[in-house]
Amino acid sequence: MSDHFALFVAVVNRPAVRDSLIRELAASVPDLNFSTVRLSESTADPLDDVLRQAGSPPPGPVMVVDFNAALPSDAAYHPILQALNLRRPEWPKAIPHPVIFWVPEYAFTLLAREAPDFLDWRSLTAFFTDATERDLIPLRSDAWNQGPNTNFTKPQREARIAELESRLALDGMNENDRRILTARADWLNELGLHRWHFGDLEKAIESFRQALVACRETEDREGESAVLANLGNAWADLGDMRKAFDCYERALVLSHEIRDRHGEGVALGNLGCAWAELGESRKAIDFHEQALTISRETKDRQAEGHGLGNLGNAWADLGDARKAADFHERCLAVTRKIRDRRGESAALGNLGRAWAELGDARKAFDCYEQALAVSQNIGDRRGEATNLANLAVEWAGLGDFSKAIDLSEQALAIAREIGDRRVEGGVLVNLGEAWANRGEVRKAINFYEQGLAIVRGIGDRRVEAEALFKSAVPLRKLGQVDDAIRRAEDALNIYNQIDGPHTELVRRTLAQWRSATSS
Amino acid sequence: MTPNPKTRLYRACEPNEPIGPDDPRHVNFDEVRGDNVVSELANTIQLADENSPKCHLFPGHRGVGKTSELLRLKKLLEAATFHAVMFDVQDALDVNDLDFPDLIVYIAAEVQRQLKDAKLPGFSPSTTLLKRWWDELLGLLGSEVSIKEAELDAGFAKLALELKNRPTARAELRKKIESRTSSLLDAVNDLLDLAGVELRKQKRAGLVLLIDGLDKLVLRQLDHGTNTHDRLFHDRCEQMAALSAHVVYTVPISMIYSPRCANIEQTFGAFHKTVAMIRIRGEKKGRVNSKTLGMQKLWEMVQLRCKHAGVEMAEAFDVEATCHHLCEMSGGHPRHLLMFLQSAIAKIEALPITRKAAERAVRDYRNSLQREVPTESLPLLRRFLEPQLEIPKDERHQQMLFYLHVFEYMNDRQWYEVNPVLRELIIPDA
Repeated sequence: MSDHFALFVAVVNRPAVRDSLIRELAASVPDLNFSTVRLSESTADPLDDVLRQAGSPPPGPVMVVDFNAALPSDAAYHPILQALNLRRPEWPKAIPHPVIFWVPEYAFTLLAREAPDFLDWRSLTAFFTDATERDLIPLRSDAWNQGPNTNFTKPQREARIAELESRLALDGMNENDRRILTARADWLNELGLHRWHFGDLEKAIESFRQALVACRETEDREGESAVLANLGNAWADLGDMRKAFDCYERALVLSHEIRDRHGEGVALGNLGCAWAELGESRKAIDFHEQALTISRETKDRQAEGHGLGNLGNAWADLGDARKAADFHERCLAVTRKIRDRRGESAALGNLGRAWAELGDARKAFDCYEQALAVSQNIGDRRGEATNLANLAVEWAGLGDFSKAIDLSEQALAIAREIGDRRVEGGVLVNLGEAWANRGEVRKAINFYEQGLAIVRGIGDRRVEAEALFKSAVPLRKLGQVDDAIRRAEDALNIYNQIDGPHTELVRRTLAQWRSATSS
Repeated sequence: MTPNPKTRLYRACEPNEPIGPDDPRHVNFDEVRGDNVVSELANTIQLADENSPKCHLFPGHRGVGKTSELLRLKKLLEAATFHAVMFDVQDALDVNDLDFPDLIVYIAAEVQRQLKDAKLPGFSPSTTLLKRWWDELLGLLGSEVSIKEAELDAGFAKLALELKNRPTARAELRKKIESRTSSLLDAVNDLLDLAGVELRKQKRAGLVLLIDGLDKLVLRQLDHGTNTHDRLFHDRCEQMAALSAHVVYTVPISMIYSPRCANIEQTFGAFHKTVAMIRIRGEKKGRVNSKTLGMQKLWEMVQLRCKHAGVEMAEAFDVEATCHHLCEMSGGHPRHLLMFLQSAIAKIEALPITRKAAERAVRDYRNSLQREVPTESLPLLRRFLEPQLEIPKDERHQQMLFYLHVFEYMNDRQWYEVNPVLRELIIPDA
């Protein structure tokens, strides 16, 4: 640490992480007198805020935080950045100490764009990405086979389920008459879809299987392809990717044979989602682009929305949050236009995640809360659980771990109720992290283990890697250093195999631990 | 006191009353119209795959007898164990301005009502999808429209009437319905599927909708170069053809001659069987005389009306030639013939109808037509003084067919001739 001016920029999205880093830094050099300067909406010139809050001149290194407040992401331009540029020569004179700007990622982009001269001065930029996975919501295409649209409220959907069940139970519904069989297939497919929407996955699979039988009896190949797509989705949500792939591939072959472009698009999109879940983002992008092309050809707006949203998810997986946000905005616009509420809820949730990645907490919260409201309104339990889980992660990011635990537990209860193992696994890992932050190491490890067991079972590699890496940290704290290193190595292995943005972080941490051990 | 013969005959000649096949006044005109349109259509429906119901257009001039033919079709289909739901849109909708939202709402109302009345076992027309659509629509309408009907089908019927009776509010109402049209179609189809299944369980053939009155849709120009016929039959043909049951729609004859006809045929199918005018000319378009088959059939029709009124033919007409004259001047248009009869009867003190009264009846009609025919059309009409095999597919000629200035006849193929009443108007003075 020098005793003249130097500018450092630290990019970190989550205030809680930032604060703990600042604490660590201050603790490592106790001789120095650190000041923390908070910017606000009323900040006109950061230099004035620094001199006012830290002293003129400040006694030691200065940490400048809360750029979120002073730099709203949706303003056209930012006067304070102009001020930075203009008053650049005054900083070294006024502050004969190092200055560290702690900025979220989107703010870093703004700085680079609007205060390039000031930024040029910096000696170092450090990126502190965090490895938390917020759940992405894939937009799987369900095939309604020209049936009723999907905008049911919860009580409407329950009424329709009851009606379909009673129709299917009536006498004479099992006769071999072709008209009756066709109606039976349609009603079973629709029933399965309604059950799927509610998250009743096992029952949905039952209905779809029966629908397949009826379709085969009437040789309705288009119907068969549609039901296969739906069946695949149910398997994917239960976590059985092998069965899901099997269904999607059969649907693709069938659609091809009968020259059903729409069915082809559905199958391609669903295959893309499946590859994404296995961590193969580039393969996923390829499939989704094909599906998007077809949707424009068939002028299927719902499929177009799905394609855009799924591409957004794939880019998010590859770490390009800005691209992801862009795709999700477009997806959201389409879903609102065609009143696809489930799609809207998913788009909002995914957009929220993109904003979280970019560090704009306010926008992220806003999106997640809207998403939660929609999923509750339409009785989409899975969406509800996912959105609660994402909100929990945001609260953890702000340092409110009690709230994070509360919301996570709500999400967990729903996920268990509907048998959604994917959400269950992810939430358990988040709970582990929350408890670790509260200092309850053993509880944390417990949750991590539970989460790991489940995500391994469903083959979700990304969350597996995250769980491995995160659970290594408390293990190390407990003194189980070798176990911790082994876990981090396992995590690194997985990250090396799948496309992911956290490989670097894990590698560095592992290197640190190893060198600490050997010294 | 029983009405006198003149009154009875007048009443027996009501031109707007469709005659069912079992009515004693019914005459089978198949031989002189062209093909047996009705029996062929009945066969087509029977042969069709029950899982891909087809839509059929039933075109023909107004007043040519389409409703009577539809009633015959209904009877044939019922004999083949179909359940036929038949209704006339004129009962509830405004034919000056009818558009698709009106039509689908009325279809929903009638299908529910008639299926309810039919009391099919195990069937209730109050489906969750219809209820859901209705609740959402009421939400959209807010306080504009107060429909508090207890029964769903009555609600739909009331909505149809609102559309008819409130032309100023119509555009707004239609917009709101339009925003939900495809889910209403889904809800109606769900109901039709249910009914279809219930019928099959009873070992019956299935469901058929016979929708009458669309041929009366007035041909009016609208903004942006379209007209009322195109707005419905062309722009909405996919949705009209998307119902989950066999459907027969009557359509104005001018549709078949619309330049957009090819597009419409794509969706509805190319098989248009027209209910043609009764051929009064002789074989190979020979001269009209009282011995031709068509003229004999028309004579039979008048005879049955007289019989129904308890009046002898000899009583009704001063000489046979008077009746022949009216038949000839009708051009084979049954309704016109009845109109002439009524008009002639109104001009006399007591029966018989005189040649003079008959000529005056025809002249009255000619005068009213004269006001209608655009001056620009007169030279074009001259072509049709003689039977023509072709007619141009433009707007002016479409109007001629729609307004009954030119008639369509059928041997093995169609041919066209001017309405006989107009002959004197367009034959240049010698």
